[in-house]
Amino acid sequence: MGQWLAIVVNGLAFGMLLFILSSGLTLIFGLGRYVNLAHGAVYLLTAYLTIETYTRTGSYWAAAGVALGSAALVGAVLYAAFVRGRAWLRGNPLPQVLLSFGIIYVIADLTQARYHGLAQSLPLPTSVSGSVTVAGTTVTEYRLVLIAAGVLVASGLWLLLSRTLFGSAVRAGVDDHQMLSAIGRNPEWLFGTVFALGFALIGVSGLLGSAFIGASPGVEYTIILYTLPIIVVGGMGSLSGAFVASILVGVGDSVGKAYFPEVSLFLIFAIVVLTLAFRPEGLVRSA
Amino acid sequence: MLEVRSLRSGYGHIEIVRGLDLSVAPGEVVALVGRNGAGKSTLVNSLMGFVPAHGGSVHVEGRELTRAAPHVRSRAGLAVVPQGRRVFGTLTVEQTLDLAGRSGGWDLDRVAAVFPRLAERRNTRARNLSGGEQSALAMARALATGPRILLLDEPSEGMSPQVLRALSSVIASLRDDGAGVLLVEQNLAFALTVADRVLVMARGHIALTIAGDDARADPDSLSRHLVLQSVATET
Repeated sequence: MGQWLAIVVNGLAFGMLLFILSSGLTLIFGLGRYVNLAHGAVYLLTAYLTIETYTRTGSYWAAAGVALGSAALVGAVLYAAFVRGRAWLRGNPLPQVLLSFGIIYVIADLTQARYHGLAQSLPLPTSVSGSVTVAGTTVTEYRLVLIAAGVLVASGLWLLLSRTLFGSAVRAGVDDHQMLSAIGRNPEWLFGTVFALGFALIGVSGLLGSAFIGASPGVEYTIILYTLPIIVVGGMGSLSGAFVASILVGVGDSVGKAYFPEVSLFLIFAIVVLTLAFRPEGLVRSA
Repeated sequence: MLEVRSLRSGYGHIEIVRGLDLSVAPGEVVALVGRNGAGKSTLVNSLMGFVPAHGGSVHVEGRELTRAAPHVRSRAGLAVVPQGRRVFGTLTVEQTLDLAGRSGGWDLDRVAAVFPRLAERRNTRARNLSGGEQSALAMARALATGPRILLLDEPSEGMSPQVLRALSSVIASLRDDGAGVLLVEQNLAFALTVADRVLVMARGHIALTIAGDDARADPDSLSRHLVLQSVATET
């Protein structure tokens, strides 16, 4: 029982980190039919920058500012350089994938040059570095922080999408972007905003993840392996779907690593195969 | 005021609208009829900016919009009720009208006066509305933008007689407000009840213009034109 709880909490914490990463991805895909595979590389960059900023300044606030700021900046540069005004790129996966891999190589090499391929992680603030005992099981506090952060991001995004005019515009754009523009909304501006929001969320995950999975070469691809199943299982473009799928993948991975370590990654793709076989449109159909 | 001159438009290399002229004056209701494949829907999609213009010009209220994006046309006073309704499935009635709403446009109260059912179902998502309610919502969405020119693409398709009556009253009040209406319609009887002018479209341009009163006085002659025209195109 005790071990089970630790495994589930661990899985939920990882799942929530994956959710924060995939929520931005699924919004960008849903609205713009744009698959950004470079999110893992942007995670790597922001995680390294978070750790470096903390090491230099000793301030978590400065590290948080750099994480969000750098992610938003990378998003803005990518949008302005490669996405804005290029309608042909939308819903055209091959050039999107090639572009993504180009961006991944550039970012991975830049971090390699600066950090010499060393695995690093952010030391935890003392206020959350302890552990608590729940039902006889020791749980590290930071895992609970991650779970709370995931729930907070999910609630914030849900409120934004369901309760604001901006959210209505995003959902309308996912439904029928042509009709959205026919009622006077500029879809380009809206997509740019969602792009920035998606990258800011990658910055949040870089900040939170730097103290959990850390920054190391190869994580840019590991993240793709975990987040693509989430987008597919959840239903492409669906936020609530991504939330449910993140929990499935996070807990599934944690259980797999504890009991069948040789096939834990296989377990995640088994979930994908089952979903594609029985609900090819994903668990949840709409935003 | 909508002013279309020598408009050419279509998909890729295929030209469907071939040098079309038409105008809709403030407070005027113009019906556009013609057999399937005449290019009516392509014309509407081109006027809204969904399909690119290859040549010619489009002006609304004196403003050149030939190559403008749809949202620019919307802000210049154009609105469309598209074929197949195309409502935003995940938005409620109220959210749809809030999103489309602009000062000078129809608010929920004014919409409710014509489509009372929509006000009752204001918190229902569009995808859960009945077909007739979705038609009414597609109308209300266009009206919420406060259009100077309203493009209606086969609005009567699948409409109950009750919603059809509401549509007539909407068209009448747009006319009173001095807005222009371009009504693309297969339902000749309905088109004749509201039109000031009837245009017959064939092979991508306007083949014939008839004053509404003449068409009403002799509806058979219009039907004959449509039949003759289809015979002429098919042979």
